[in-house]
Amino acid sequence: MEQSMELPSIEKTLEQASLLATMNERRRSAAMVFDQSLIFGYQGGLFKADAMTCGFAKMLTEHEAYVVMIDLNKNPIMIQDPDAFLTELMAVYTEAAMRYYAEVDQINKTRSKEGLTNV
Amino acid sequence: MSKGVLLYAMNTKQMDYGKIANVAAMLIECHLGLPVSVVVDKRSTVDPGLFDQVIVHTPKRSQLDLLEDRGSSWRNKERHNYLALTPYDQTLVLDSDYLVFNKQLATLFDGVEPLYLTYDAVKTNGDAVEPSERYISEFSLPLIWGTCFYFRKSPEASLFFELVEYVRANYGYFTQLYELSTQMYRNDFTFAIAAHMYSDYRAGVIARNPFPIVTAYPASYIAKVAPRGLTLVGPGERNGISYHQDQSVHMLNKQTILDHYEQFKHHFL
Repeated sequence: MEQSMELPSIEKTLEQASLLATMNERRRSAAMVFDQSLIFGYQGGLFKADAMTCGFAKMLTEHEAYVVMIDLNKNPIMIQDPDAFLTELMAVYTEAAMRYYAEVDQINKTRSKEGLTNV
Repeated sequence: MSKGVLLYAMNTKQMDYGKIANVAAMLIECHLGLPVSVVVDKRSTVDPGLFDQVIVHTPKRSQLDLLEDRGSSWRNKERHNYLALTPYDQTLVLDSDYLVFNKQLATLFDGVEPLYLTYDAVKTNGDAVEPSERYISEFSLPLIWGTCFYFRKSPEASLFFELVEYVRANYGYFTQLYELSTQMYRNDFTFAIAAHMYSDYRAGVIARNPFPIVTAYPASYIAKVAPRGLTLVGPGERNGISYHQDQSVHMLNKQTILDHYEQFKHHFL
């Protein structure tokens, strides 16, 4: 016996495409905000609390009493207390990542265009 | 050391920059929590309650300035004397149409550099800005945005702004020398040339502001103002619309800021 498969109407497909486009636009914007939120100032240097910097700082704290970190403008910054620096790095990363997570989670759960456009 | 934000509001026949500066001050107070001062001339007015200081400055104008102003919707040539006019030791200078929706720029005050200049901008749709907004001319210097920069009162800042003043005063010559893409005066070009001279005419970057300017082109309009950001519509946006939550936006369409003045007041005053 042949089974007939009902195709969705083109209107419904386009509506879905539009919803996905809006979701992607919101996600793109949220990703950009997250990226900028990782930047912070510490002892005169501007640093980015990304995965690489966090990992590098963690490694240094295990070996050195003090470290020199290179900031975003290539300034060498003496970090007298690497543990405090790592704590700050992790705090900045965690706050930014949690906000990003909450934002994307809300975008994913909001399955209506009205909800998504309600910035 | 004192910290603050400096705006310029010089009205033209077409545009009420004083009112746009009011919007900028409300947003800065709300998101950066820093005092805001504004430089105005005698034909521009702002709401004094929104500002730490209103600095009235009417520069002498040459015939060239007057000619350039005819028909122009902005008066960038009168935006200078930053060091002399700022009441702060550490100053963030912003264009009035740069709408601040997060605290990121406050990070610059923690930096060791005496100057942070902005080399990077992206469109509100996430694409790179046009080549004419990245370089001052074909095969030439990277453009530096006068829209947003930071300086600390220092010998370095003093030298840089002297060079800015020199380029500004001899702009016609530098237009030819650097084969600028337009005769129109732009602070962005002046900054780029001054930075080149500052680096002893070599390629080099004075400390970079790590926050790129998100730029909404003139064809984009504000559709909605919300406490956390803007919704923009226009042909340049992806699918005609973009959402900017917690993101600062440089609105080149100034009229749309004025059109939503009451909404800004409702949320941020």
